[in-house]
Amino acid sequence: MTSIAQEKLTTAPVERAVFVTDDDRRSRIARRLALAALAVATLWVAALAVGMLGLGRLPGVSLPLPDGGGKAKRHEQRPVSTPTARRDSVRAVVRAARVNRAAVVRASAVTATTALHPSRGKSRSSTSRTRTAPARRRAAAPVAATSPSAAQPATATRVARGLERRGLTAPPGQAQKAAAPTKTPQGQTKTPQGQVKRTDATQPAPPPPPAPPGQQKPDKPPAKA
Amino acid sequence: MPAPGARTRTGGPAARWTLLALLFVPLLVLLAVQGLSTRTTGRSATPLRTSEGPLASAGPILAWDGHRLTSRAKYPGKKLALTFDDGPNARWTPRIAATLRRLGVPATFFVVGSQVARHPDIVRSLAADGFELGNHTFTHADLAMLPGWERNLQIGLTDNAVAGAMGKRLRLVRPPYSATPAAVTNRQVVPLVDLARDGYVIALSNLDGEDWRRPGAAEIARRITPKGENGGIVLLHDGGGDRSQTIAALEQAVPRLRARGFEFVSVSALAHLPPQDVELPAGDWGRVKGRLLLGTLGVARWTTGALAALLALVTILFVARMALLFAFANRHARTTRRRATDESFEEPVSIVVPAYNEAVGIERTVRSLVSSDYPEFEVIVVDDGSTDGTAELVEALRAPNVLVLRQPNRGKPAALNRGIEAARHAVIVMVDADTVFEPGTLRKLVQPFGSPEVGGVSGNTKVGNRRSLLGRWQHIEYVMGFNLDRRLHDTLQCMPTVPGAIGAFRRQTLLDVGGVSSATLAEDTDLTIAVGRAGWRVVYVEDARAWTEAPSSLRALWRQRYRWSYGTLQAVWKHRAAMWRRSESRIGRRGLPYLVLFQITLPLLAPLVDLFSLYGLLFLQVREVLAFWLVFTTLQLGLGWYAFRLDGESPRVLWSMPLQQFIYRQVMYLVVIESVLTAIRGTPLHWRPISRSGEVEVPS
Repeated sequence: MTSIAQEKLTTAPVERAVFVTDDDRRSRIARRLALAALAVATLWVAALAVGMLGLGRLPGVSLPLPDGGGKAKRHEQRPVSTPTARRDSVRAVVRAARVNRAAVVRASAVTATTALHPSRGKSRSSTSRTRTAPARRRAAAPVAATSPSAAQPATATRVARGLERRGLTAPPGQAQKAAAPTKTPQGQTKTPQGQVKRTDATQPAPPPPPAPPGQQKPDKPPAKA
Repeated sequence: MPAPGARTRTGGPAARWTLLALLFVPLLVLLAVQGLSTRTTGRSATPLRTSEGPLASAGPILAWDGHRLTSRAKYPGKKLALTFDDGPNARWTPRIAATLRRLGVPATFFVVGSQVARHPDIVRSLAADGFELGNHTFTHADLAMLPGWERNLQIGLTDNAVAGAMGKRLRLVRPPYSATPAAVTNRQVVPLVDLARDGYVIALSNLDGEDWRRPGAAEIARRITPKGENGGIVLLHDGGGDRSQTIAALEQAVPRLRARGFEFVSVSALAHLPPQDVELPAGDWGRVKGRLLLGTLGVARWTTGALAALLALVTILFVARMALLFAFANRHARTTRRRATDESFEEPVSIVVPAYNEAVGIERTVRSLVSSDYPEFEVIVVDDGSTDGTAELVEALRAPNVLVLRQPNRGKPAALNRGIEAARHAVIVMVDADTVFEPGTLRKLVQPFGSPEVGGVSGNTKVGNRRSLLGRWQHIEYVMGFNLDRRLHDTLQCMPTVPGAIGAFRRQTLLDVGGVSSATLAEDTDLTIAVGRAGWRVVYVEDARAWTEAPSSLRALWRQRYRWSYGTLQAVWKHRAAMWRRSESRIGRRGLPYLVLFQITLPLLAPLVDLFSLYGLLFLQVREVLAFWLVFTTLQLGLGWYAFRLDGESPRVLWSMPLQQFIYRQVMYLVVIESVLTAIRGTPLHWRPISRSGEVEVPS
């Protein structure tokens, strides 16, 4: 076995490594390109975020009644039974019916004024909001709740329907009848709560109180136009 | 073994990975946006009709009157409002609109927001033609199944998309999966109440054509024809599938209904709402937001499309490579069996072993070499400035025919060149210092030099430490690489790499190419390509086995593969001229493109497979994604089994192959990405030593 120590390099001089540069020009360009790509990506994300922002609430609208009246007209605007009514206790149903009755009167006012003051539609006026808020809460929460209990409150519903047939909003003795509207000097009707309701000649008559679901008589189609 | 003249690298890997992550995250967000905006589009379904639903007695038009939900149009008389859901569709919406125009029928199109983003021009065209539009959520989502914020998002995004397309806000809404009021369940009524309270007018239907079932034009026409004198809202579809039957049904039903005295109106007319109350101006800011949404979604769509095209390219490359490998490996195996080897070739051989701090395994390597059953050879160990006593260990062996050369640390190419200079024989075998030869390996390795056109020979490197999962994975990779890729290269006479662990060259060949170059970090690939360009043939001998120690940690594996990958890039770039020279066409037009396609491009695109797998699992049919993955894995397993069979190895270890999809495959493509970034930046990269354990098991 032989061992040779050699301090001097005998091979060819070292070659220049492929890709390697003396300056950092390419590195700078690469970094700038990457940053530019990053900036574009950030802009895209920002634009997407802005593009996803909502457009705000729609101005309220009520379904106007068609021209004409009578039975067909009454059938046109139908309160919809939601699980709410069927779930509530007797007291809650009675309370809701009372509020609803008052709200129907106000709703007609809202409908009439929508064209003039679109922002007032959808119960945006302070009075409407104040008055209907509890009812709305009562209506919304049970709707969002579960439905399996829909069969339970049949008794409550029947009680409410009975009261409504009799023109009452609460059981006798507990009824707090809405105070009769009083005329203001300006020809407007003042509600007991201080609401002001327009009574223009063009204003449609308030719709009849909603018939409880399942209680109304079989609807007939409106007469031929 | 540090490369000579290596400079300090500028910029740490952490910064590079951060940059990569920052570029990757928007891509993920982009895919997520695309996925979320398209995942449920176009499905149609008609819920069961029930007489006990909360809206069973209601009309099809619902709104909030200030304190409760009220309905309309239960008995609209002889008025019919045609509505079309799930569009706009590039093919069917314009055709349906043209039919309606020709028939002079107004209609309301309930558009899906994601489709609006895709076809804003169709929406504009519908509006210009006087058709009414309504909101059908952004992705045709079942609102009853969504939390409140997502319901708002579904409606709000569609609002924005329509605002961007035509500058209007839509008041009419039809929730998907709700046909008639009677079919609305208690659960479904909740979002309807919320929508109505937000000012939207909900348009359900009374007459469901169920055209999405494609029951035939006559049947659709029958279903949309009122039985009595009351019309209402007719539900049809312009998106979500072939709508030719819908068009035919319109052609049949409209004249018949007119003849019966029915009048066609829009939904707003049925609700007695003025048109300007159902399509409100979006305002300047609303338009801007809408356009931003459309623009960004367009970018997401096009980028996803481009990525999907690249994924298709990956699939094609993958399948093509598998087919090529199988075909050529099979051919190689058949021709090798027939090929007569010149067993009389016993020219003296010089074995060069470059070593830098290889004390752990050098003794075993030298012992295995001197035990070779070959008549005449010398072993030259070039100690490249080791500090761990590598040279002393070899000297202490006092083995015959072993020469130890010492030099200051200059790098592996310099050590090899020093050994080549000192070699006395015409055939030079190069062996890594961590590699163990079998007794018959040397004989088998040099036999092909009996053929005068052969300038280089590649042996078969085996992983000697395969007890760990990482070792098994590398074992599988080596078996497949040597028994498939190298057989293909041998058959096509375009061998790009004779491995540093076991390779042999004619001395004359090495002189022709100027020795081992230090210009790249993959000196073996660089040298082999140079030999091929010089016109020599390089062959593969599967029986010439050498056992090597594979990296035993992910960190070590990363270092090794990073060097290989970067070195391969350097070698390909260095020899790129060969692609255009006819005299070097074998390596230039076969070997180099193979490297570019399958060792650079494929790993660079491989992350797409992971990205789209994730995308598919989240937004597409999981079953389809799994089936796709299963097919690929099965193909890989099949090819792996074939390679193991060719190599005479037990295929039992292949059970761990599907697990390679996690971690191992990612390491493999990340090193290529890192290498490309390093190459682009031009920063020097030096050889970083890998720690050895000396664990190499050679079967007796």
